[in-house]
Parts: sequence; C-alpha cells; structure tokens
Amino acid sequence: MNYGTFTRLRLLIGLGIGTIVAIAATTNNFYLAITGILIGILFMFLVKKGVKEVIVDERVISISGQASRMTYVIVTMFSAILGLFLILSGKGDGNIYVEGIGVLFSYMSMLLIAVYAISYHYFNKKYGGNTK
Amino acid sequence: MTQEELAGKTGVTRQTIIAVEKNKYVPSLELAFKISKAFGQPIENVFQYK
Repeated sequence: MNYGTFTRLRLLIGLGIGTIVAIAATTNNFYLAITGILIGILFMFLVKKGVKEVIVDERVISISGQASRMTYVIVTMFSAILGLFLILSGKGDGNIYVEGIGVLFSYMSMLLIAVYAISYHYFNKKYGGNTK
Repeated sequence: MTQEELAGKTGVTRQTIIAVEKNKYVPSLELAFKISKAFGQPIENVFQYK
C-alpha cells in the first residue's frame, strides 16, 4: 500500500468513527461509541502496518510540532479567557453554575500549561538542555 | 533517480523530497548527508548555504 492509499483509508476510517460516534450520541448508546472507537483504532493500526513506505519523517514531525504548539496556544488562551469571563459573569449574576463552568475552564487552562511545562522540561533535558 | 527512489534511499517520504527540491523545507544535517550520499556527491555539491 502506498502513501496516497493510506491517506485515503485514514480519512475513511476517521469518517466512519465520526459517523458511529454521532449515531451513538443521538441514540444515547455508550457501548456503540466505545465499540466504534476501538474498531477504528484497530483498523488504523492494521492500515498503518500495511504501508510499505515511510509515513513519518523529520518534516512530518516538524509540522506536527508547529501545529501542536499553535493548538496549545489557541486552546489555552481561549479556555483561560472564557473561564475568566464565565467566572466574572457568574459572580455578577449570582449564578453558581456559570461560575462553576468558568472555574472548570480555568483549571483546564492550568492543566494544559502544567502538561506543556512538564513535557517541555522532559524534552529539553532529553535533547541536552540544562547540562552542567 | 526518481523522487520515490531517493525517498526510499534516504528513509523519508516523497513529499519531503519534493519540499526540499522546491526550497519549501530545509532538511536536517543528517538528511542532507543522506541525500548527498545517495547521489554519491560531497554535501557542498548538493546543498549551498545562502
């Protein structure tokens, strides 16, 4: 199997998983969603094994790194600002539910920053940073 | 040598070879050496620093 076929199959599997999860969500069927995801992971694994060409190289890793960094910045900033907005508006209206959701978003931002800091420290150490 | 053959020899995807040819991607030193080795040329004959 070549890279083009792999990309098409990966897209098809992704669409299949999305459809199954959507059906499971509308019918409130938790087991169908889990089964769909597991079958999707299995198919993805089998498809990856069937590829003879190299599918991940330094350019792909570099692109993923840049995309991950951008995703991290956008998601963290968005959840932090949304969290702050919900906390303030919840406090203003006296709505504890809105305030609670705001706190949840704030904690999510902190968790993201913590995971980023830990993984940054790990990779920095791995690739020769902080050496005495 | 085709792009596919070069990709196979250097252990990268054909897309990476295309990107290097089009000056869209600067390869790592390791890949640059591998490409030069695949052509049987010294690295300075294949890549120039601008």
